[in-house]
Amino acid sequence: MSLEIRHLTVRFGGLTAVDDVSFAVEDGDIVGLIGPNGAGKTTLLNAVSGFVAPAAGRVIAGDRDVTGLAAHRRAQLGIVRTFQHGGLVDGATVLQNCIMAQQAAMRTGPVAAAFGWGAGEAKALRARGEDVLTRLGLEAIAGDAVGTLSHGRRKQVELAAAFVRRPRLLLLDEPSAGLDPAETGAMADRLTALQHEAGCTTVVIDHDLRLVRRLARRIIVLSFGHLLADGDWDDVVADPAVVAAYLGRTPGPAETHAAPRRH
Amino acid sequence: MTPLVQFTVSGLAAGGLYAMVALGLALLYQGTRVLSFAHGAYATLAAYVFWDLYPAHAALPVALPTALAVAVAAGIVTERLVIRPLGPSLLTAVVATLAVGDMLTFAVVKVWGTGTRTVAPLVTRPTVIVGRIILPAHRLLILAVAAGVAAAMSLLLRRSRFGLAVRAAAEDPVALRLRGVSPTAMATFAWAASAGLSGLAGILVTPILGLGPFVMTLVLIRAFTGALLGGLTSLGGAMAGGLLVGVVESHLQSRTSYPGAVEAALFAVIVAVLLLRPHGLFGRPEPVRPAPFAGGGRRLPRPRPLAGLAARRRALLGAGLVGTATVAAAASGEYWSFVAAVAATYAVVGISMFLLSGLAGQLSLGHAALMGLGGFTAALLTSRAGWPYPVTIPAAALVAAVGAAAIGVPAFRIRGLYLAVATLAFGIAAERWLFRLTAVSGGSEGVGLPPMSARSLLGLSVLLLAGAAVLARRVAATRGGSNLRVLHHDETLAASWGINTGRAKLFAFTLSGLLAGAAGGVYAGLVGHLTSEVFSAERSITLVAMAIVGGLGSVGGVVAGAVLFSLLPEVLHGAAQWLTLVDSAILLAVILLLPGGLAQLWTPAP
Repeated sequence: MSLEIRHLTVRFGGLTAVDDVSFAVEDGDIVGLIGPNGAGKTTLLNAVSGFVAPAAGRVIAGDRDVTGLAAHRRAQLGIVRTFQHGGLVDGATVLQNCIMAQQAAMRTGPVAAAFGWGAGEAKALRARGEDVLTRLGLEAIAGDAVGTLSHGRRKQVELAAAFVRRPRLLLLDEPSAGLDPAETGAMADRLTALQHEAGCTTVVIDHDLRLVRRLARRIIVLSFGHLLADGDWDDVVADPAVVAAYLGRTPGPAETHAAPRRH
Repeated sequence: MTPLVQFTVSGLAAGGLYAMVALGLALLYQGTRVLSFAHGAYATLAAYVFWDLYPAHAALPVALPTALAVAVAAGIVTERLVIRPLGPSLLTAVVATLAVGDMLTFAVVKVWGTGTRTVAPLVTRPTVIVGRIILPAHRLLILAVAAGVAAAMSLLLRRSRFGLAVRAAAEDPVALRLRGVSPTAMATFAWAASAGLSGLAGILVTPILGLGPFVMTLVLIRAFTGALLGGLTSLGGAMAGGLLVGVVESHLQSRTSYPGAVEAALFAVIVAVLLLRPHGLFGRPEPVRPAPFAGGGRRLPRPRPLAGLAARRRALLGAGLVGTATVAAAASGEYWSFVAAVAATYAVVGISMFLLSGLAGQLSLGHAALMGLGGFTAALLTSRAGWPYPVTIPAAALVAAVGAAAIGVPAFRIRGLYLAVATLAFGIAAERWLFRLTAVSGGSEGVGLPPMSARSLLGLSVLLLAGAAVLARRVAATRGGSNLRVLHHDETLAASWGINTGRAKLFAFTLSGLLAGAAGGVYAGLVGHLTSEVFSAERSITLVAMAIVGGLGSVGGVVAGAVLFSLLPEVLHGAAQWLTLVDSAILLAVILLLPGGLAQLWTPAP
């Protein structure tokens, strides 16, 4: 599912978190979204997944304008996102989480399900959950309560809960947050494999630039809500405006329009 | 023109009292995120102490500080003994304050009796007359004190360290802790200050409403309404809300003597305002806090004697116990059949709360009103329309389901504690207005049903219980239940998993209303004669207590709670006056020691 963002602006009171950002991602492509803290990366994902309403601009997923659509409707279209925190039901087991994450796709309604209809459908969800867990090497912890898992394990389960839903547009918010370098490497391997198999369009935010580089050829840089750069990795890291945003150097006169400083 | 001004001014005086209490409630909410129902009892306590001392035994400079000190001490003790050990559990803390309030009120009744007496106003002169508007001196005094309190509080919050801390806590509790402000010291301050404000309001309202143990309930509910209208996150807003409630009440009372008109109007106002502004007129949006019924912070050894049994075996064991008890009760005659039928009926209400609170995480403080919708439907269809009684039960269930769905729709926008208070307002409006309409209950005379044998009603109620238990367990085990579990844990996560959170809530409310209404229909048959008091707001609180004591997490838990609370009056036979104390003591003990309720005794650790 392709993604197109047209002149997107999100405001919180007087603060403009995302300011007139436009870009497009082709179906099946992977894009890395980077930028300093407070650049508006997560807000942008929230606007795409429907958790904040933009002040202006459109979000187009596939051939559909989803700007006014409720978050759960977008999720049903195949827009899947992960969160920096939370993202799983702590009291339930790993497998239960992987089943619950898919339930919105069931055709059997809740009342019918309570009266015993849709047993085959429920069985299929369970099989899908078990299948994804096995492929991620998590079958041994399928029966463990999520609340008892280590942080690294939990992040892997979140990935499983995202992929069981057969994403068409995947939005990953810091998949490596809190992981050590070895865990991050393993995470990147798994992500690449699953993403390749699912063939889904992917936008990934991360502070670990090596991870982003491994996953995505194309990089979009945000700074203070503005789109600062958009292009191949090598071009982007060579861009003086990007260097300035990351290192805090005062931009030269040619760049000021792109990176306004807030002092 | 003159009456308009006159009623506005006297409304402002009453509003000044509500504003003081509302200010305390908002202060407490900002400092600790707890909504307290114990503050009515602090006000009662202060009022009794003050008006016992003054003017007979002590002068004002002695009586006033003494009375306020008692209220403040009660607040601090509540925080230290009940709230702090609970840890961060939003809705459980609300229920705990209900229990504390009941226990304090019980103590007041034990010491001073249930009688109400009048007291002379603190000041009788000068009565100010401006044109044709009369301003009684006592009301002017109230306005002056409220203004003084507002000024003092504003100064305190701007200048003192604690005041700044409270204001900062509203912005960001974590950042505050990182800067080294002790949250426990701040909680103590918030409880002390808010209890003191309630005490002051209690002392001042007594010359108007009289001195009695239950007088302050009304003041507290008005203050809650005001605080919600204005916004719990805005101190000035809460005060403005309190004043507004006073003025609205005064004007309505001047125009209509219709019973419950004020309650119905305030419920409509509160729902309308919260729908437009879910955090009150002046409040700011707060992050959604997940897992509202999360257990206490204290880790205690948890005995689980039956935890080794498989879930299916436990359910069969439970069903066997209920069956045996039913047969035994039926065999021992009408009296025990009646007791068992009441227990089974409450168990059905408990299951209805399991679906709404245990699964979906929505606290209803108006469940008795849903029972009432079913009860009056059954009674009216039987007595006026001539339907055979058993046929009215499905109708009762449907009417209550529609009523519950009507509360479920605002729940799309109104969340958590705000929704809990809105359901309380619904319960009060139903009791004082809807159930007192001439068409519903013939005003105060009530509706009668033909006498029925307790044994046949026992059969009906146990049949209903079996159906409800099977339905609830099926729902919990399938798609509907797990959607609600995700919703309970985190609404944002639910939406990101494609769950329509609004529809899921509506599902929970409707199903819960269906069961509560059917139970209400059976209860109507048991009581035989319905008045509005049968389905009072206090009854709603008892229902919540019952479900929490048993354990909201499972069908077995809520059934056990219902059985316990129905048998207590039989055990305490002859000591019925102690019942409220025992109820609240059990509730507090369970909340503090068994966060999962009695059900924790037989379910395995999560």
